[in-house]
Parts: sequence; C-alpha cells; structure tokens
Amino acid sequence: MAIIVNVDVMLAKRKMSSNELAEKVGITPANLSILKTNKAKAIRFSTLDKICEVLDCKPGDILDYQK
Amino acid sequence: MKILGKKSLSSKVLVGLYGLFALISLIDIGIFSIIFKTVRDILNNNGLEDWFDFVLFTIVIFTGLMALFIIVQFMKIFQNLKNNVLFCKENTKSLSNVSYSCLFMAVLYFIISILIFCMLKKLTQEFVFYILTFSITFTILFFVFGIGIKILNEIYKKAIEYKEENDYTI
Repeated sequence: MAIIVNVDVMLAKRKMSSNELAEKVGITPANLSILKTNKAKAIRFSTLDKICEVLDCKPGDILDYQK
Repeated sequence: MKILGKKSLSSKVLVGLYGLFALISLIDIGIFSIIFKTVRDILNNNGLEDWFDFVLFTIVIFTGLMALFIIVQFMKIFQNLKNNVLFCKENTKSLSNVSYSCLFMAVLYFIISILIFCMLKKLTQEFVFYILTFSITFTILFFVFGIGIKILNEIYKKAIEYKEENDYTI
C-alpha cells in the first residue's frame, strides 16, 4: 500500500514509548504494532483522533503517501 | 446444541465421516476384486461384455476414490470446525477441492450413463433401468453439489477477506 504510517517518528519526537501510546489511545500493543509495521488495512477516525490528541500532532504528521 | 468446538455436532459429524470413509474403502476393495475377476475373464474369453464390465468397474473405482478424497477434505474442514478455526484459507482450499471433485464425479457418472446407454440391447431391462436411473441421478446430484459448493466457497472466501480487513482495522 502507498500509505505509510509514521507513528515511530512522532513517538521519537515526543520521546514516548509504544506501550505508553497504546495505553493512552486505548488500543492493544499488538494493534499498535500492526499500525507501525504498515500491516493495517484501515484506521478508524476515532483511533486517529486519539493518536493525534496524545501525540499532539495532525493526521498528516502520522500518515504519508508514497508512490 | 453446540455446533462448533469440542464435544459438539461437528465432532460427531467427524466420527461419522471416519465411518463413511471406512465403509467406502471396503466397497472399493470389493469392486477391486470384481475388476481382477473381469481381467481374468478378459484374458480367458476376450468377450465384449467382459471389456464393458472392466471399463464400468474401473470408472466406479475412480468414483469411489474421488468419494474418499471428498470425505478427506470434509474431515479437514470439520477438524478445523472442531478446533474452532472457522475462517482460514485451508478451509477454502478444501471446499474448492470438494467442488472440483464433485464436478469430476458428475462427469464420471455421465460417462457411466453413456456406456450403459450404448450397451442397451446387450443388457437386461431391469439392470438398465436401475443403473441408468442411479447414474443419471448421481450425475445431476454431483453437478448441482459441485456448482453449489463452488458458490459457497466464493462466499466463504469473501467472508475471510472481510474478517482479515476487520482484524487489520485499528
């Protein structure tokens, strides 16, 4: 898929661990791992909203498009 | 009544399938002995009727082997159902095998029907009536089953696709 999830970059910028983000967003670490490894087929707006809220960023900072 | 999992209807069906497998295997062994007898007759007499018997029973043996193959595929599916593994690609592969086998069985029974029809004058009326009715019925039955299972398989494939999509939606 051409959509790339850059949660890792934002996590490094905010100096936050994956487990901490998963806990604050309310998803399992396994699901966050699926998201980070670009295996996810879709992301709910509610999850994206929570991630943006926790990481204090915009969806464009997390999601990228590459041809 | 529990349908999936251990000690459920699917596990009982699995036991039934084992029994059916054993029964068809025994019938196949019986037909094998008839084939050996007809081969011996062909070697001794070389009559047309012996050749007819040989071809007919060879096709019947093939249908028996295909039936065993179908039962094995169903065993795999029911084993998965017993283990509560519902949506896996292995099941679609088994169902696909079953559908193709059913269509092949329909072709085999159709050949049997044609063979019997060709030998109409040489066989006794009663024999023709029973065997022809039996083979035509099985031709239609297996054809319908084959098509039906193929359609079910496609639905099952879609279900697996949707499940995967749901599993990977965060």
